[in-house]
Amino acid sequence: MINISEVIETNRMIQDENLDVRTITMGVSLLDCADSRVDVVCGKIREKLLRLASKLVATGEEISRDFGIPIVNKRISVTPIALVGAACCRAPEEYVEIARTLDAAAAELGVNFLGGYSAVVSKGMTASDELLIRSIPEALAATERICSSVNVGSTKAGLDMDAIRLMGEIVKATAERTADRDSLGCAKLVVLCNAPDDNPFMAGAFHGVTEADAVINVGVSGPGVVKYALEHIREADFETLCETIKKTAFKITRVGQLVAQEASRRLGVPFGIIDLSLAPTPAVGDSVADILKEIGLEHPGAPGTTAALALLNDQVKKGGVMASSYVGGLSGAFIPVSEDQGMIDAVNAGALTIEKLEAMTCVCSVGLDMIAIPGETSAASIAGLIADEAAIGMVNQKTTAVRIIPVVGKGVGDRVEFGGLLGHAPVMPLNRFDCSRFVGRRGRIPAPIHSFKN
Amino acid sequence: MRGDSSFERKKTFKNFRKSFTPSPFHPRGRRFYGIIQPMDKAVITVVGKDTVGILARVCTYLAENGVNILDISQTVVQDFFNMMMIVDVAGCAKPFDSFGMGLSQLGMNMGLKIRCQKAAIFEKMHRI
Repeated sequence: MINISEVIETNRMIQDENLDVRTITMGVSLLDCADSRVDVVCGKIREKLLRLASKLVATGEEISRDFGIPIVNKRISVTPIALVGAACCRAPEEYVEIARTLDAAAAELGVNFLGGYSAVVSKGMTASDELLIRSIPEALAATERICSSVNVGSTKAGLDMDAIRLMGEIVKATAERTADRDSLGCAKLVVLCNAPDDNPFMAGAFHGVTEADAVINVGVSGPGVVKYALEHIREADFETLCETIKKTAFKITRVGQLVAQEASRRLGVPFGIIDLSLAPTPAVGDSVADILKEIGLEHPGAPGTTAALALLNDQVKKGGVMASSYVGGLSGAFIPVSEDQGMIDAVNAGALTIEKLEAMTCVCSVGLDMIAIPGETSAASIAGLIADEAAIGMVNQKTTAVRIIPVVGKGVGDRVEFGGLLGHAPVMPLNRFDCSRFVGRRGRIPAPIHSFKN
Repeated sequence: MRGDSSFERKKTFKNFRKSFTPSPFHPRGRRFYGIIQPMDKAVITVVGKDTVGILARVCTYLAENGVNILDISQTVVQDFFNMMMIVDVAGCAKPFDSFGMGLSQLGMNMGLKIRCQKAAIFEKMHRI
């Protein structure tokens, strides 16, 4: 039987160390909503989402009350809309119409984000993929809750440089289109390489074509819990350090597994995966940077940061896979800048640069995330940054992403406020030298040699 | 009481036998009529300053709602009184949600923090 010290430990994690389930994300396939008329597609999408997800928010809250664990977000991911709208959309405005429908359905259901306004163009773009990509600035400006992602490469297919060049322009255009809100649109737009089909975290969530009709994916969190555990072993050796992170990750993931199974049972929707990521929030004590400091760095960005992050990421995975048979999504440590108070402090102290962050993305679970850069940055430079990050993903057979905000009218040293979970960020300098002749080349970068495993 | 396995066995066995005879008059009992009603374990935690009658008032509330106590233990952490009860809410007269809210209300009246959570979260986290 459970003993009192275990009960106290669990409740301390929840009450004092910000342990929570970050998101229950219901993946919904919209492939069966395709039609040759936009209004019919919108009608079918609305009907399907309201039918399948009507109880999502209420069920999440019920589970939260039953187990006394906060479930912060309830979200939906859908089939990449470039596929759903392929037969009916002849202009970007028609895709925006679908975005508005999705936004209205999300508002009606009470979910805070809906992901999947996406295109998967790892090797090349179809006409409909390109239309969707060109509609992104308008779609993100016209909606509140829609998140957009574009997958521009994979280890198997190489990098689609035409799509990357286009995304440089689209990121710029999205920033300009939402200039009145500190270019907030870019916080809902992510460019990925090797994007997983079952990611529950925004903004990169979409319901891949390999998935079933509907599925429940859960993202756990809890950087505060790991930090607290490490506070007690400050002088310990690496073995003890790794063991402690692993055990903590196991406990966190088990909670996610329980919530996922319950949500799946109560909603009558199959369970997909647990994403065992350490996802920070701007709240004090909910920071991945603080874990790195606890491991022994003055600030993230100091020499040794990449090694410390590699260790953390690996141990989180090792603890997590023991706790759930189905892990997926991004699974690892997130290192967004604006969403993590410790990262913001490191940038302000001059410890952390975009180049160091890029090195860190080689060993963590995602990529350059929530970084504000000067609004005057050229589209070519943004495309170059996306290409760099995608190349890391392609060669290392991992997911990488770029969610970067060229804040219109702001320069290095200014501060940007996004609000809520998205936090605030100092504008960081980007290397000012030109790469336009490189990204201006047509075609694609071939897949690396080690992708040929047939 | 804690660690006394014979006590736990006895209580559990008693409850097991009880579960063969669910009340057909109970609002949730009917659903299980003729079937063995499974246990639905929850953990109640009480944290705060120690005063006279905490246990009495919590137990009265549990009895009024048809909730059976399986185990009780208590300890003092950082000068705070910590009590934990493992209870079976399968026969609870109220939905779990409002039962829990009633408990935390009772706690507030006494200046204590009372939480009621399904036991699965602790079992999952601490047992392989």
